[in-house]
Amino acid sequence: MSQDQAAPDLLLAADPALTITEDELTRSRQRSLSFVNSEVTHIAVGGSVHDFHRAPAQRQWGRIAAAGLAAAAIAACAVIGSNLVARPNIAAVAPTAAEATATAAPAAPGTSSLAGATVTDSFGNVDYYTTVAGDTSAGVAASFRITEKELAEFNGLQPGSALAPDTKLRLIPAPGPMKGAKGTATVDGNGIPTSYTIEPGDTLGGIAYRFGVNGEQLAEANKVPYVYEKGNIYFVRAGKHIQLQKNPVDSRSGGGTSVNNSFGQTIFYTTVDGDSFDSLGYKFRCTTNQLLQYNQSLAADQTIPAGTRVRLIPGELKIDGAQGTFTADADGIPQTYTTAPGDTERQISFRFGVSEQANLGWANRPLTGTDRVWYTFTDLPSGELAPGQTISLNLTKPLHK
Amino acid sequence: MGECVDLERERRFLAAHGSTHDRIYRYFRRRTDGAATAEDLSAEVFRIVWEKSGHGDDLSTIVLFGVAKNVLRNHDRSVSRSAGLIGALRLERLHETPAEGSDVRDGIDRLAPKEREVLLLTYWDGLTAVEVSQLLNTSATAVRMRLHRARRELGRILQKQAVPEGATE
Repeated sequence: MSQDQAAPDLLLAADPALTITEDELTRSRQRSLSFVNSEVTHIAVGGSVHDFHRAPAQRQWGRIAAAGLAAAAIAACAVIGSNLVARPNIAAVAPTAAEATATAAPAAPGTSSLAGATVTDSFGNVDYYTTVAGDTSAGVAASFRITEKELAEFNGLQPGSALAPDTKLRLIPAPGPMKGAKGTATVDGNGIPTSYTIEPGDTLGGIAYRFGVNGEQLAEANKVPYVYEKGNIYFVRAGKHIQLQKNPVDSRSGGGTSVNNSFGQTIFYTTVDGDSFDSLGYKFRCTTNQLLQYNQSLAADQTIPAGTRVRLIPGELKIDGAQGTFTADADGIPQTYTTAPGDTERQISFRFGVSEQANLGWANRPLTGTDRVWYTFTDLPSGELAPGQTISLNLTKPLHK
Repeated sequence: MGECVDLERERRFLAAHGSTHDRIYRYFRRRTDGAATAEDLSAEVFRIVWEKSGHGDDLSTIVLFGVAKNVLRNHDRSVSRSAGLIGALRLERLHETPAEGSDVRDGIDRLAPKEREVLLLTYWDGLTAVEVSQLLNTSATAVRMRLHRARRELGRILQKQAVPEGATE
Protein backbone atom coordinates (compact mmCIF):
# COMPACT_ATOMS: atom_id res chain seq x y z
CA MET A 1 0.00 0.00 0.00
CA SER A 2 2.85 2.41 0.72
CA GLN A 3 3.96 2.30 -2.89
CA ASP A 4 0.39 3.23 -3.78
CA GLN A 5 0.83 6.47 -1.90
CA ALA A 6 4.35 7.18 -3.12
CA ALA A 7 3.39 6.95 -6.78
CA PRO A 8 1.15 10.05 -6.82
CA ASP A 9 3.82 12.21 -5.21
CA LEU A 10 6.40 11.06 -7.72
CA LEU A 11 3.89 11.62 -10.47
CA LEU A 12 3.27 15.18 -9.42
CA ALA A 13 7.00 15.82 -9.24
CA ALA A 14 7.45 14.43 -12.75
CA ASP A 15 4.76 16.66 -14.27
CA PRO A 16 6.29 18.27 -17.39
CA ALA A 17 3.96 21.20 -16.89
CA LEU A 18 6.01 22.28 -13.89
CA THR A 19 8.51 23.83 -16.27
CA ILE A 20 5.90 26.07 -17.90
CA THR A 21 6.70 29.74 -17.47
CA GLU A 22 4.19 32.53 -17.09
CA ASP A 23 5.49 34.05 -20.34
CA GLU A 24 4.63 30.91 -22.19
CA LEU A 25 1.14 30.89 -20.77
CA THR A 26 0.59 34.54 -21.57
CA ARG A 27 1.70 34.08 -25.12
CA SER A 28 -0.61 31.15 -25.64
CA ARG A 29 -3.49 32.94 -23.91
CA GLN A 30 -3.18 35.89 -26.24
CA ARG A 31 -2.76 33.79 -29.31
CA SER A 32 -5.77 31.63 -28.58
CA LEU A 33 -7.83 34.79 -28.14
CA SER A 34 -6.46 36.57 -31.15
CA PHE A 35 -8.78 35.15 -33.76
CA VAL A 36 -11.83 36.47 -31.96
CA ASN A 37 -10.75 39.80 -33.35
CA SER A 38 -9.10 38.67 -36.54
CA GLU A 39 -9.89 37.05 -39.80
CA VAL A 40 -8.31 33.70 -39.24
CA THR A 41 -11.47 31.74 -38.65
CA HIS A 42 -13.32 33.23 -41.52
CA ILE A 43 -10.80 33.42 -44.26
CA ALA A 44 -12.54 30.54 -45.92
CA VAL A 45 -15.77 32.50 -46.07
CA GLY A 46 -14.42 35.96 -46.65
CA GLY A 47 -11.55 35.15 -48.96
CA SER A 48 -13.39 34.47 -52.15
CA VAL A 49 -16.60 32.61 -51.99
CA HIS A 50 -17.04 33.32 -55.63
CA ASP A 51 -13.87 31.59 -56.68
CA PHE A 52 -14.69 28.74 -54.42
CA HIS A 53 -17.95 28.11 -56.20
CA ARG A 54 -16.51 28.45 -59.60
CA ALA A 55 -13.27 26.62 -59.05
CA PRO A 56 -14.57 23.23 -60.21
CA ALA A 57 -15.05 24.63 -63.71
CA GLN A 58 -11.35 24.33 -64.29
CA ARG A 59 -11.24 20.68 -63.38
CA GLN A 60 -14.42 19.92 -65.24
CA TRP A 61 -12.85 21.44 -68.27
CA GLY A 62 -10.29 18.68 -68.64
CA ARG A 63 -13.01 16.15 -68.91
CA ILE A 64 -15.06 18.19 -71.34
CA ALA A 65 -12.06 18.73 -73.54
CA ALA A 66 -11.22 15.05 -73.48
CA ALA A 67 -14.80 14.14 -74.28
CA GLY A 68 -14.78 16.63 -77.13
CA LEU A 69 -11.64 15.18 -78.62
CA ALA A 70 -12.91 11.65 -78.29
CA ALA A 71 -16.20 12.61 -79.90
CA ALA A 72 -14.35 14.29 -82.74
CA ALA A 73 -12.24 11.23 -83.31
CA ILE A 74 -15.28 8.98 -83.36
CA ALA A 75 -17.16 11.30 -85.67
CA ALA A 76 -14.19 11.47 -88.02
CA CYS A 77 -13.98 7.68 -88.13
CA ALA A 78 -17.69 7.45 -88.78
CA VAL A 79 -17.45 9.81 -91.72
CA ILE A 80 -14.50 8.07 -93.26
CA GLY A 81 -16.18 4.72 -92.82
CA SER A 82 -19.65 5.46 -94.10
CA ASN A 83 -19.39 8.72 -96.03
CA LEU A 84 -23.01 9.40 -95.22
CA VAL A 85 -24.64 12.74 -94.39
CA ALA A 86 -22.62 13.10 -91.20
CA ARG A 87 -21.03 16.32 -92.40
CA PRO A 88 -22.92 18.81 -90.17
CA ASN A 89 -22.14 16.61 -87.24
CA ILE A 90 -18.42 16.74 -87.80
CA ALA A 91 -18.61 20.48 -88.32
CA ALA A 92 -20.29 20.83 -84.96
CA VAL A 93 -17.83 18.69 -83.06
CA ALA A 94 -14.51 19.57 -84.62
CA PRO A 95 -14.50 23.23 -83.46
CA THR A 96 -15.04 22.01 -79.93
CA ALA A 97 -11.79 20.16 -80.06
CA ALA A 98 -10.02 23.08 -81.70
CA GLU A 99 -11.43 25.45 -79.14
CA ALA A 100 -10.44 23.18 -76.35
CA THR A 101 -6.81 23.84 -76.97
CA ALA A 102 -7.45 27.52 -77.55
CA THR A 103 -9.44 28.33 -74.43
CA ALA A 104 -8.01 25.94 -71.91
CA ALA A 105 -4.84 27.97 -71.49
CA PRO A 106 -6.03 31.52 -70.67
CA ALA A 107 -7.94 31.27 -67.46
CA ALA A 108 -8.15 34.77 -66.05
CA PRO A 109 -11.60 35.07 -64.47
CA GLY A 110 -14.07 37.22 -66.32
CA THR A 111 -12.01 37.41 -69.47
CA SER A 112 -13.39 35.83 -72.55
CA SER A 113 -11.80 34.71 -75.72
CA LEU A 114 -15.23 34.53 -77.29
CA ALA A 115 -16.42 36.95 -79.96
CA GLY A 116 -19.91 37.67 -78.64
CA ALA A 117 -21.05 40.75 -76.72
CA THR A 118 -20.99 40.72 -72.92
CA VAL A 119 -22.85 42.63 -70.22
CA THR A 120 -20.74 43.25 -67.14
CA ASP A 121 -21.68 44.49 -63.71
CA SER A 122 -20.04 47.45 -61.99
CA PHE A 123 -17.10 45.31 -60.89
CA GLY A 124 -16.44 43.87 -64.34
CA ASN A 125 -17.96 40.47 -63.63
CA VAL A 126 -19.58 39.23 -66.83
CA ASP A 127 -23.23 38.49 -66.12
CA TYR A 128 -24.50 37.97 -69.70
CA TYR A 129 -23.01 36.79 -72.97
CA THR A 130 -24.56 36.92 -76.41
CA THR A 131 -23.57 33.98 -78.56
CA VAL A 132 -22.19 34.16 -82.08
CA ALA A 133 -22.09 31.40 -84.67
CA GLY A 134 -19.70 28.65 -83.65
CA ASP A 135 -20.05 29.08 -79.87
CA THR A 136 -20.53 25.88 -77.95
CA SER A 137 -21.87 25.50 -74.46
CA ALA A 138 -18.60 23.90 -73.37
CA GLY A 139 -16.61 26.80 -74.75
CA VAL A 140 -18.85 29.45 -73.25
CA ALA A 141 -18.97 27.71 -69.87
CA ALA A 142 -15.21 27.36 -69.73
CA SER A 143 -14.60 30.97 -70.75
CA PHE A 144 -16.68 32.23 -67.87
CA ARG A 145 -15.48 29.62 -65.44
CA ILE A 146 -18.77 27.92 -64.78
CA THR A 147 -19.71 24.36 -65.60
CA GLU A 148 -21.76 23.36 -68.62
CA LYS A 149 -24.38 22.06 -66.22
CA GLU A 150 -24.59 25.46 -64.52
CA LEU A 151 -24.82 27.23 -67.86
CA ALA A 152 -27.72 24.99 -68.87
CA GLU A 153 -29.38 25.49 -65.49
CA PHE A 154 -29.05 29.28 -65.46
CA ASN A 155 -30.63 29.48 -68.92
CA GLY A 156 -33.16 26.67 -68.74
CA LEU A 157 -31.40 24.80 -71.54
CA GLN A 158 -31.08 21.07 -72.00
CA PRO A 159 -27.53 20.16 -70.93
CA GLY A 160 -25.43 19.41 -73.97
CA SER A 161 -27.79 21.03 -76.46
CA ALA A 162 -26.28 23.17 -79.21
CA LEU A 163 -26.33 26.95 -78.79
CA ALA A 164 -28.19 29.06 -81.32
CA PRO A 165 -26.25 32.15 -82.42
CA ASP A 166 -27.40 35.53 -81.06
CA THR A 167 -28.76 34.09 -77.81
CA LYS A 168 -28.26 36.14 -74.67
CA LEU A 169 -26.95 33.67 -72.11
CA ARG A 170 -27.14 34.25 -68.39
CA LEU A 171 -23.90 33.51 -66.54
CA ILE A 172 -25.24 33.97 -63.03
CA PRO A 173 -27.95 31.79 -61.47
CA ALA A 174 -31.50 32.26 -62.73
CA PRO A 175 -33.44 34.96 -60.87
CA GLY A 176 -35.38 33.93 -57.79
CA PRO A 177 -34.62 32.53 -54.35
CA MET A 178 -32.09 29.78 -53.98
CA LYS A 179 -30.42 28.00 -51.10
CA GLY A 180 -28.40 30.45 -49.06
CA ALA A 181 -30.02 33.47 -50.74
CA LYS A 182 -33.78 33.27 -50.37
CA GLY A 183 -34.54 36.98 -50.41
CA THR A 184 -35.75 39.32 -53.12
CA ALA A 185 -33.42 41.30 -55.32
CA THR A 186 -33.76 44.32 -57.58
CA VAL A 187 -32.22 44.37 -61.04
CA ASP A 188 -31.43 47.24 -63.37
CA GLY A 189 -32.44 47.62 -67.02
CA ASN A 190 -29.58 45.40 -68.16
CA GLY A 191 -30.60 42.60 -65.85
CA ILE A 192 -27.71 43.25 -63.46
CA PRO A 193 -28.74 42.64 -59.83
CA THR A 194 -28.38 45.87 -57.88
CA SER A 195 -29.66 45.33 -54.35
CA TYR A 196 -30.92 42.55 -52.16
CA THR A 197 -32.81 42.02 -48.90
CA ILE A 198 -31.32 39.32 -46.71
CA GLU A 199 -33.63 36.58 -45.45
CA PRO A 200 -33.14 34.37 -42.39
CA GLY A 201 -30.88 31.44 -43.26
CA ASP A 202 -29.03 33.28 -46.01
CA THR A 203 -25.29 32.82 -46.19
CA LEU A 204 -22.55 34.98 -47.55
CA GLY A 205 -21.63 32.21 -49.96
CA GLY A 206 -25.18 31.88 -51.18
CA ILE A 207 -25.57 35.60 -51.79
CA ALA A 208 -22.21 35.87 -53.54
CA TYR A 209 -23.05 32.92 -55.78
CA ARG A 210 -26.56 34.06 -56.66
CA PHE A 211 -25.38 37.49 -57.79
CA GLY A 212 -21.99 36.58 -59.20
CA VAL A 213 -19.97 38.86 -56.95
CA ASN A 214 -17.29 38.04 -54.41
CA GLY A 215 -16.97 39.02 -50.77
CA GLU A 216 -14.54 41.84 -51.45
CA GLN A 217 -16.87 43.33 -54.04
CA LEU A 218 -19.82 43.08 -51.66
CA ALA A 219 -17.77 44.85 -49.02
CA GLU A 220 -16.91 47.65 -51.43
CA ALA A 221 -20.48 48.03 -52.68
CA ASN A 222 -21.65 48.40 -49.09
CA LYS A 223 -18.75 50.58 -47.98
CA VAL A 224 -17.78 48.24 -45.16
CA PRO A 225 -14.28 46.91 -44.46
CA TYR A 226 -15.32 43.27 -44.81
CA VAL A 227 -18.49 41.21 -45.07
CA TYR A 228 -17.49 37.97 -43.43
CA GLU A 229 -18.07 37.48 -39.74
CA LYS A 230 -15.16 38.91 -37.87
CA GLY A 231 -14.77 39.42 -34.18
CA ASN A 232 -18.44 38.89 -33.67
CA ILE A 233 -19.52 41.49 -36.21
CA TYR A 234 -22.02 40.34 -38.77
CA PHE A 235 -22.73 41.71 -42.21
CA VAL A 236 -25.19 39.01 -43.22
CA ARG A 237 -28.21 39.69 -41.02
CA ALA A 238 -31.81 38.90 -41.87
CA GLY A 239 -33.84 41.90 -42.96
CA LYS A 240 -30.85 43.96 -44.00
CA HIS A 241 -30.95 45.61 -47.41
CA ILE A 242 -27.57 45.42 -49.11
CA GLN A 243 -26.10 46.86 -52.28
CA LEU A 244 -24.76 44.50 -54.92
CA GLN A 245 -23.09 47.08 -57.17
CA LYS A 246 -21.07 50.22 -56.72
CA ASN A 247 -22.02 53.53 -58.27
CA PRO A 248 -19.69 55.02 -60.84
CA VAL A 249 -17.25 57.53 -59.36
CA ASP A 250 -15.41 60.39 -61.03
CA SER A 251 -12.06 59.25 -62.38
CA ARG A 252 -10.35 62.27 -60.81
CA SER A 253 -11.43 61.19 -57.31
CA GLY A 254 -9.16 59.69 -54.68
CA GLY A 255 -6.10 61.83 -55.37
CA GLY A 256 -6.22 63.82 -52.15
CA THR A 257 -3.85 63.60 -49.21
CA SER A 258 -4.44 61.27 -46.30
CA VAL A 259 -3.44 61.39 -42.66
CA ASN A 260 -2.98 57.98 -41.08
CA ASN A 261 -2.93 57.17 -37.40
CA SER A 262 -0.22 55.00 -35.90
CA PHE A 263 -2.33 51.92 -36.57
CA GLY A 264 -2.20 52.51 -40.31
CA GLN A 265 -5.81 53.55 -40.67
CA THR A 266 -6.60 56.73 -42.61
CA ILE A 267 -8.35 59.13 -40.26
CA PHE A 268 -8.35 62.33 -42.35
CA TYR A 269 -8.55 62.82 -46.06
CA THR A 270 -8.36 66.13 -47.90
CA THR A 271 -10.61 66.00 -50.92
CA VAL A 272 -9.85 66.91 -54.53
CA ASP A 273 -12.16 67.66 -57.44
CA GLY A 274 -14.27 64.66 -58.29
CA ASP A 275 -14.45 63.26 -54.77
CA SER A 276 -17.92 62.37 -53.58
CA PHE A 277 -19.57 60.51 -50.73
CA ASP A 278 -19.40 57.44 -52.93
CA SER A 279 -15.74 57.77 -53.87
CA LEU A 280 -14.80 58.29 -50.20
CA GLY A 281 -17.13 55.52 -49.08
CA TYR A 282 -15.67 52.94 -51.45
CA LYS A 283 -12.11 53.98 -50.80
CA PHE A 284 -12.22 54.31 -47.03
CA ARG A 285 -15.24 52.07 -46.34
CA CYS A 286 -17.34 54.68 -44.58
CA THR A 287 -21.02 54.88 -45.32
CA THR A 288 -22.51 58.24 -46.25
CA ASN A 289 -24.31 58.25 -42.90
CA GLN A 290 -21.06 57.78 -41.04
CA LEU A 291 -19.35 60.54 -43.03
CA LEU A 292 -22.22 62.91 -42.26
CA GLN A 293 -22.05 62.05 -38.58
CA TYR A 294 -18.30 62.51 -38.34
CA ASN A 295 -18.34 65.74 -40.36
CA GLN A 296 -21.08 68.12 -39.28
CA SER A 297 -20.09 70.58 -42.03
CA LEU A 298 -21.08 68.19 -44.81
CA ALA A 299 -24.60 67.80 -46.11
CA ALA A 300 -26.01 64.78 -47.91
CA ASP A 301 -27.50 66.77 -50.79
CA GLN A 302 -24.39 68.82 -51.51
CA THR A 303 -21.15 67.91 -53.22
CA ILE A 304 -18.02 67.95 -51.11
CA PRO A 305 -15.87 70.94 -52.09
CA ALA A 306 -12.27 70.18 -53.07
CA GLY A 307 -9.86 70.82 -50.22
CA THR A 308 -12.26 69.70 -47.49
CA ARG A 309 -10.56 67.87 -44.67
CA VAL A 310 -12.89 64.92 -44.11
CA ARG A 311 -12.79 62.98 -40.88
CA LEU A 312 -13.06 59.23 -41.43
CA ILE A 313 -13.39 58.07 -37.82
CA PRO A 314 -15.85 59.17 -35.12
CA GLY A 315 -12.99 60.90 -33.21
CA GLU A 316 -14.66 63.87 -31.53
CA LEU A 317 -18.05 62.22 -31.86
CA LYS A 318 -18.78 60.36 -28.65
CA ILE A 319 -20.25 56.96 -29.40
CA ASP A 320 -21.85 54.29 -27.25
CA GLY A 321 -19.14 52.57 -25.25
CA ALA A 322 -16.57 55.31 -25.88
CA GLN A 323 -17.85 58.44 -24.15
CA GLY A 324 -14.58 59.73 -22.76
CA THR A 325 -12.28 62.60 -23.73
CA PHE A 326 -9.12 62.44 -25.79
CA THR A 327 -6.05 64.43 -26.77
CA ALA A 328 -4.66 64.76 -30.28
CA ASP A 329 -1.46 66.11 -31.78
CA ALA A 330 -1.18 69.00 -34.24
CA ASP A 331 -2.18 66.77 -37.16
CA GLY A 332 -5.29 65.66 -35.32
CA ILE A 333 -3.92 62.18 -34.68
CA PRO A 334 -5.40 60.88 -31.41
CA GLN A 335 -2.81 60.40 -28.68
CA THR A 336 -4.44 59.56 -25.36
CA TYR A 337 -7.90 58.80 -24.17
CA THR A 338 -9.51 59.07 -20.74
CA THR A 339 -12.13 56.44 -20.14
CA ALA A 340 -15.70 57.17 -19.08
CA PRO A 341 -18.08 54.75 -17.32
CA GLY A 342 -19.32 51.97 -19.60
CA ASP A 343 -16.50 52.29 -22.15
CA THR A 344 -15.42 49.13 -23.93
CA GLU A 345 -12.16 48.33 -25.72
CA ARG A 346 -14.02 47.55 -28.90
CA GLN A 347 -15.86 50.83 -29.12
CA ILE A 348 -12.80 52.88 -28.16
CA SER A 349 -10.92 51.10 -30.93
CA PHE A 350 -13.70 51.91 -33.37
CA ARG A 351 -13.95 55.56 -32.33
CA PHE A 352 -10.27 56.18 -33.00
CA GLY A 353 -9.67 53.94 -35.97
CA VAL A 354 -7.63 51.30 -34.16
CA SER A 355 -7.68 48.64 -36.83
CA GLU A 356 -7.42 45.70 -34.47
CA GLN A 357 -8.49 45.73 -30.88
CA ALA A 358 -5.31 43.81 -30.07
CA ASN A 359 -3.31 46.84 -31.23
CA LEU A 360 -4.93 49.01 -28.60
CA GLY A 361 -3.64 46.53 -26.05
CA TRP A 362 -0.18 46.69 -27.55
CA ALA A 363 -0.08 50.45 -27.09
CA ASN A 364 -0.90 49.84 -23.44
CA ARG A 365 1.12 46.77 -22.62
CA PRO A 366 2.72 46.56 -19.19
CA LEU A 367 6.49 46.17 -19.10
CA THR A 368 6.40 43.73 -16.21
CA GLY A 369 4.05 40.98 -15.23
CA THR A 370 1.97 38.80 -17.45
CA ASP A 371 -1.10 40.88 -18.16
CA ARG A 372 -1.97 41.76 -21.75
CA VAL A 373 -2.70 45.38 -20.82
CA TRP A 374 -2.17 47.47 -17.74
CA TYR A 375 -5.52 49.21 -17.73
CA THR A 376 -8.18 47.67 -15.55
CA PHE A 377 -11.63 46.42 -16.33
CA THR A 378 -14.87 46.58 -14.43
CA ASP A 379 -16.17 43.67 -16.50
CA LEU A 380 -13.48 41.65 -18.22
CA PRO A 381 -15.64 39.39 -20.40
CA SER A 382 -17.37 42.30 -22.14
CA GLY A 383 -14.16 44.36 -22.17
CA GLU A 384 -15.69 47.15 -20.08
CA LEU A 385 -13.00 49.43 -18.72
CA ALA A 386 -12.81 51.08 -15.37
CA PRO A 387 -13.53 54.82 -15.81
CA GLY A 388 -10.95 57.57 -15.33
CA GLN A 389 -7.94 55.78 -16.82
CA THR A 390 -5.81 57.61 -19.36
CA ILE A 391 -4.67 55.17 -22.04
CA SER A 392 -2.56 55.48 -25.15
CA LEU A 393 -4.10 55.68 -28.60
CA ASN A 394 -0.74 55.78 -30.34
CA LEU A 395 1.30 52.67 -31.07
CA THR A 396 4.48 54.70 -31.36
CA LYS A 397 3.90 56.35 -27.98
CA PRO A 398 2.75 53.47 -25.82
CA LEU A 399 1.91 53.96 -22.18
CA HIS A 400 3.10 51.29 -19.82
CA LYS A 401 1.45 52.92 -16.80
CA MET B 1 -18.61 48.37 -37.37
CA GLY B 2 -19.19 48.55 -33.65
CA GLU B 3 -22.81 47.63 -34.09
CA CYS B 4 -24.50 44.27 -34.30
CA VAL B 5 -22.32 42.44 -31.87
CA ASP B 6 -23.31 39.19 -30.28
CA LEU B 7 -22.11 40.10 -26.81
CA GLU B 8 -23.58 37.02 -25.21
CA ARG B 9 -21.52 34.76 -27.45
CA GLU B 10 -18.35 36.66 -26.74
CA ARG B 11 -19.06 36.69 -23.03
CA ARG B 12 -19.49 32.93 -22.97
CA PHE B 13 -16.38 32.35 -25.00
CA LEU B 14 -14.22 34.64 -22.91
CA ALA B 15 -15.49 33.06 -19.72
CA ALA B 16 -14.60 29.60 -21.03
CA HIS B 17 -11.22 30.85 -22.22
CA GLY B 18 -10.43 32.55 -18.95
CA SER B 19 -11.28 29.56 -16.81
CA THR B 20 -9.80 26.81 -18.94
CA HIS B 21 -7.02 28.11 -21.18
CA ASP B 22 -4.18 27.47 -18.76
CA ARG B 23 -5.36 23.96 -18.05
CA ILE B 24 -5.69 23.18 -21.74
CA TYR B 25 -2.24 24.60 -22.44
CA ARG B 26 -0.74 22.49 -19.68
CA TYR B 27 -2.61 19.47 -21.02
CA PHE B 28 -0.79 19.89 -24.34
CA ARG B 29 2.56 20.71 -22.76
CA ARG B 30 2.39 17.43 -20.88
CA ARG B 31 1.65 15.42 -23.96
CA THR B 32 3.60 17.10 -26.77
CA ASP B 33 7.18 18.07 -27.30
CA GLY B 34 7.38 21.78 -26.74
CA ALA B 35 5.89 25.16 -26.05
CA ALA B 36 5.36 25.96 -29.72
CA THR B 37 3.30 22.85 -30.35
CA ALA B 38 1.26 23.39 -27.22
CA GLU B 39 0.60 26.96 -28.28
CA ASP B 40 -0.49 25.86 -31.76
CA LEU B 41 -2.80 23.21 -30.39
CA SER B 42 -4.29 25.50 -27.74
CA ALA B 43 -5.03 28.08 -30.41
CA GLU B 44 -6.70 25.39 -32.46
CA VAL B 45 -8.84 24.32 -29.50
CA PHE B 46 -10.08 27.85 -28.89
CA ARG B 47 -10.71 28.42 -32.56
CA ILE B 48 -13.03 25.42 -32.45
CA VAL B 49 -14.54 26.58 -29.18
CA TRP B 50 -15.25 29.99 -30.73
CA GLU B 51 -17.12 28.29 -33.52
CA LYS B 52 -19.00 26.13 -31.04
CA SER B 53 -19.92 29.21 -29.05
CA GLY B 54 -21.71 30.50 -32.14
CA HIS B 55 -24.00 27.49 -32.11
CA GLY B 56 -24.91 27.90 -28.47
CA ASP B 57 -23.07 24.72 -27.48
CA ASP B 58 -22.14 23.89 -23.92
CA LEU B 59 -18.67 25.26 -23.13
CA SER B 60 -17.93 23.58 -19.83
CA THR B 61 -14.42 22.59 -18.85
CA ILE B 62 -15.01 19.00 -19.74
CA VAL B 63 -16.29 19.89 -23.21
CA LEU B 64 -13.12 21.90 -23.78
CA PHE B 65 -11.00 18.99 -22.61
CA GLY B 66 -12.92 16.82 -25.06
CA VAL B 67 -12.00 19.19 -27.88
CA ALA B 68 -8.41 19.22 -26.69
CA LYS B 69 -8.36 15.43 -26.67
CA ASN B 70 -9.53 15.30 -30.29
CA VAL B 71 -7.11 18.00 -31.37
CA LEU B 72 -4.29 16.09 -29.72
CA ARG B 73 -5.34 12.88 -31.42
CA ASN B 74 -5.32 14.59 -34.81
CA HIS B 75 -1.95 16.08 -34.05
CA ASP B 76 -0.52 12.72 -33.03
CA ARG B 77 -1.92 11.16 -36.15
CA SER B 78 -0.27 13.69 -38.40
CA VAL B 79 2.96 13.34 -36.46
CA SER B 80 2.94 9.59 -36.87
CA ARG B 81 2.15 9.99 -40.56
CA SER B 82 5.28 11.99 -41.06
CA ALA B 83 7.17 9.62 -38.78
CA GLY B 84 9.16 8.36 -41.71
CA LEU B 85 10.55 11.84 -42.23
CA ILE B 86 10.93 13.60 -38.94
CA GLY B 87 8.58 12.00 -36.47
CA ALA B 88 11.07 9.32 -35.57
CA LEU B 89 13.54 12.03 -34.66
CA ARG B 90 11.08 13.62 -32.30
CA LEU B 91 10.41 10.37 -30.51
CA GLU B 92 14.10 9.66 -30.18
CA ARG B 93 14.70 13.04 -28.73
CA LEU B 94 11.89 12.59 -26.28
CA HIS B 95 13.44 9.44 -24.98
CA GLU B 96 17.02 10.52 -25.12
CA THR B 97 16.81 13.61 -22.97
CA PRO B 98 16.95 12.32 -19.44
CA ALA B 99 15.00 15.10 -17.78
CA GLU B 100 14.20 15.38 -14.14
CA GLY B 101 11.78 12.72 -13.05
CA SER B 102 12.51 10.71 -16.16
CA ASP B 103 12.35 7.44 -14.22
CA VAL B 104 8.81 8.24 -13.38
CA ARG B 105 8.07 9.18 -16.97
CA ASP B 106 9.58 5.94 -18.18
CA GLY B 107 7.38 4.17 -15.72
CA ILE B 108 4.36 6.08 -16.98
CA ASP B 109 5.24 5.12 -20.54
CA ARG B 110 5.13 1.48 -19.59
CA LEU B 111 1.59 1.57 -18.25
CA ALA B 112 -1.31 0.32 -20.33
CA PRO B 113 -2.64 3.26 -22.40
CA LYS B 114 -6.07 3.33 -20.79
CA GLU B 115 -4.67 3.27 -17.28
CA ARG B 116 -2.04 5.85 -18.12
CA GLU B 117 -4.68 8.19 -19.49
CA VAL B 118 -6.74 8.00 -16.32
CA LEU B 119 -3.70 8.42 -14.12
CA LEU B 120 -2.42 11.51 -15.93
CA LEU B 121 -5.82 13.14 -16.26
CA THR B 122 -6.30 12.72 -12.54
CA TYR B 123 -2.92 13.70 -11.16
CA TRP B 124 -1.56 16.06 -13.77
CA ASP B 125 -4.67 17.65 -15.17
CA GLY B 126 -6.54 17.58 -11.89
CA LEU B 127 -9.81 16.23 -13.23
CA THR B 128 -12.20 14.46 -10.89
CA ALA B 129 -13.21 10.85 -11.45
CA VAL B 130 -16.60 12.01 -12.73
CA GLU B 131 -14.99 14.43 -15.19
CA VAL B 132 -12.57 11.80 -16.43
CA SER B 133 -15.45 9.40 -16.91
CA GLN B 134 -17.32 11.99 -19.00
CA LEU B 135 -14.25 12.70 -21.07
CA LEU B 136 -13.52 9.04 -21.72
CA ASN B 137 -17.16 8.20 -22.11
CA THR B 138 -17.18 5.54 -19.44
CA SER B 139 -18.46 5.16 -15.89
CA ALA B 140 -16.90 6.79 -12.84
CA THR B 141 -16.55 3.36 -11.27
CA ALA B 142 -14.47 2.14 -14.19
CA VAL B 143 -12.33 5.23 -13.91
CA ARG B 144 -11.70 4.66 -10.21
CA MET B 145 -10.82 1.07 -10.93
CA ARG B 146 -8.36 1.99 -13.66
CA LEU B 147 -6.86 4.65 -11.47
CA HIS B 148 -6.34 2.19 -8.68
CA ARG B 149 -4.70 -0.32 -11.03
CA ALA B 150 -2.54 2.34 -12.62
CA ARG B 151 -1.29 3.59 -9.27
CA ARG B 152 -0.46 0.10 -8.13
CA GLU B 153 1.26 -0.75 -11.38
CA LEU B 154 3.29 2.44 -11.43
CA GLY B 155 4.35 1.88 -7.84
CA ARG B 156 5.48 -1.60 -8.76
CA ILE B 157 7.46 -0.39 -11.79
CA LEU B 158 9.12 2.39 -9.84
CA GLN B 159 10.11 0.10 -7.04
CA LYS B 160 11.76 -2.26 -9.49
CA GLN B 161 13.67 0.62 -11.02
CA ALA B 162 14.69 2.00 -7.67
CA VAL B 163 16.59 -1.11 -6.63
CA PRO B 164 19.53 -1.00 -9.09
CA GLU B 165 19.75 2.78 -8.97
CA GLY B 166 19.75 2.84 -5.23
CA ALA B 167 22.62 0.35 -5.25
CA THR B 168 24.89 2.62 -7.28
CA GLU B 169 24.31 5.64 -5.07
